[in-house]
Amino acid sequence: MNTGGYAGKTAWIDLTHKEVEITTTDSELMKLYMGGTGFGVKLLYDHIKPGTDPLGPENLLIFAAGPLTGSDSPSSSRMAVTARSPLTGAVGMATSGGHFPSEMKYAGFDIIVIKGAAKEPTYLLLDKGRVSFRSAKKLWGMNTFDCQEFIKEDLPGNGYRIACIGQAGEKISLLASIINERRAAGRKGLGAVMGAKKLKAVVVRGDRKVAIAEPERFQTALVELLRRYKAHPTLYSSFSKHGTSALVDGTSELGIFPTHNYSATGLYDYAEDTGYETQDQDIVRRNPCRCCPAACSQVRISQEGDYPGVLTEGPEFETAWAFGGNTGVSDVSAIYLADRLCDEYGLDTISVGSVIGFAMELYERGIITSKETDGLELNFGNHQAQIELIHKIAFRKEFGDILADGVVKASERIGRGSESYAMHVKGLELPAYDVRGAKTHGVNYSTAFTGGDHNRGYAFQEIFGIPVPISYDRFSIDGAAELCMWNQIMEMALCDCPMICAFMISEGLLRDEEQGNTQELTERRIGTVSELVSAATGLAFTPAELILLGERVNTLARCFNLREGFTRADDYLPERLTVEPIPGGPSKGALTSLEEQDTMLDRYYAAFGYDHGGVPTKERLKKLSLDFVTEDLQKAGLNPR
Amino acid sequence: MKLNLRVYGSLKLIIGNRNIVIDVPEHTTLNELPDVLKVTFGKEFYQLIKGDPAFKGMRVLIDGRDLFTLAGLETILYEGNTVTILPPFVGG
Repeated sequence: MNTGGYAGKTAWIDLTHKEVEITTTDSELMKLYMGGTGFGVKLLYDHIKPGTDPLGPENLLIFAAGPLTGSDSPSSSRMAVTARSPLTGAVGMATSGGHFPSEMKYAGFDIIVIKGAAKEPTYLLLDKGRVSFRSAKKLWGMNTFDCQEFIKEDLPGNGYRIACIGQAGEKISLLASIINERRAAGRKGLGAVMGAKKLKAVVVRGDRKVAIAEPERFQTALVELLRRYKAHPTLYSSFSKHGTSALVDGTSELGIFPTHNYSATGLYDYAEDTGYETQDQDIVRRNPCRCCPAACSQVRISQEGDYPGVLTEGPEFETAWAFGGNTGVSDVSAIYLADRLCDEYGLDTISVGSVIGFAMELYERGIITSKETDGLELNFGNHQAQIELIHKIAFRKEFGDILADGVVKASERIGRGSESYAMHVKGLELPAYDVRGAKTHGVNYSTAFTGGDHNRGYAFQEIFGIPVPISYDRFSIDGAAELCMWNQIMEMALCDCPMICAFMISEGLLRDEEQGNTQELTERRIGTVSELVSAATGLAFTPAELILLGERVNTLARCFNLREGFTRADDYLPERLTVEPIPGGPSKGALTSLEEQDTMLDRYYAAFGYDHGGVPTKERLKKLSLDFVTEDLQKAGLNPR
Repeated sequence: MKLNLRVYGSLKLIIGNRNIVIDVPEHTTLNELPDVLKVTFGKEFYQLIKGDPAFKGMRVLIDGRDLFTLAGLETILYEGNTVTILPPFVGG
């Protein structure tokens, strides 16, 4: 049988010594970790020592595509970018789409592993299988849009795809992202890792095709997946048309759209002013990722408000929340400008909006005053101050320097009890869902290996109302932990390792035309991805193997964090969510008490085969082919039972 | 009895309001609601929500709760309930 899917090569690049080694992508790695996040987590675990400085030369920055990336598989032009996060100290992994991930495969590479640090600003060119180091001195200081343009003008020919940092990454803001086109590997400070390595950009270009091991079988699986998408009642008619913006309305109606730094959940106002009906009026076109039939990404230009004429790709739902409800801003043009500025500077919109909301609450409570904010009046709703703070954060100017490393560092710098208003888990700022009214999503926030992240095990059952694999009441803790485990495993197995867009899997595949939630239907849905990946690669990724693989990667990432000193104490939501009920709206009164959290954590650990402290048992490690971890955990003073 | 109805998109354009208080007979089920609303809001509104099953392709919430956590389309509506009808949403 032919092997396919993979480009076959891994580039190991040492910026310190300007050395490159190109190896054959490890076949064992393919079988056990498949691609994308699986590759990133395993290589990070294997190749950096515990305690490695995330901003030091020994940290790795890993770009990893999946076996479907660059093929005709829909919505699969995606990659995982992985490093030890300087924001959290945990595994830092963010996924991104666009065209760069496919081009990386066409250039001949499944994985690009970057270590060391350059002496001078540098960019990497991976052109048709060859790797070269190029000076980025002229690019240093540029925003991400200009940087991409300059590189394209500078290099001969065309067809280059570029992932780069803006000024925020250069200034090593821990909120810095990596931008390719206008897509972001946004969270966990991966842009700061790149900036600390003085790496301005990674450029890829190729002319190879992604081989398919079993073309007929692949085609059959492809047709089946596309049939499911086409038969879906609203995927193309609604999602393609609105993008993610309707979530402002949806979460408001569920009563889980947190506003004013999580102090005022339950308002409908933001759906009215910043929801999809308002945003739809500004759409000028769509900008799909490569080979995506849904093309959810909308390009908008503001027509009214205080900032007319601002063009941005987005804002996605999270951004509309972060710079809208979370900071009390209802002028949608101000949100567009904030979104565009963050893309240009290379900043994570979620964490930046969160840290500004945090500062606004401190200001309103009198914990900080305008003397400390350079005269800015940080009342909720002050969108001029919000824009000003984004500039200041990107350049680490004045009060922006206090905020540029996220809410934990900011609260340490400010003191005076400000930590009570820092909404984060493991140092990662919380996204746009008030999980007091979505218990499974809350377990995911608290246990995701990347910190307060909505993506590792998105509870679409609660948010989208998809009753798969079970019907579940979002206010109940019964079943939440086990459902969270299912979500985390499935997101890893169906999305983040094969690298298929989670939007398409949760909506298009799991909520298909067969609306039932029987075991048989669930298996058939998982089987669609299993067929696609198996046919592409020629490897037997059976549904059972996929599930095991999803669990393996999640558990290995957890072990990385344990090795770095994380404990059960790091798996809790911010105190505010445990003592203050949601004050109004459809989820009024909802709360996740400490007792409830303890119960859910115990159940989550039990489901994953972890002990009371969250340490995997030897038996479970063996089942997952992670035996090698046992000794490492023992060295870290943990003793797997 | 009185219900709060919250609607989005084309439904809002027809009614001219996001939020409206409506009178419906006691013990109306969600399944019966399209026919009840047809009387008040007309055929165009009815065409959008009747579906097979009712409200197909739309997300319906009762006091912020999904139907599958209640009794589905057989859920009985009570005085003061808020019924929200909006397009399904996805993303994150």
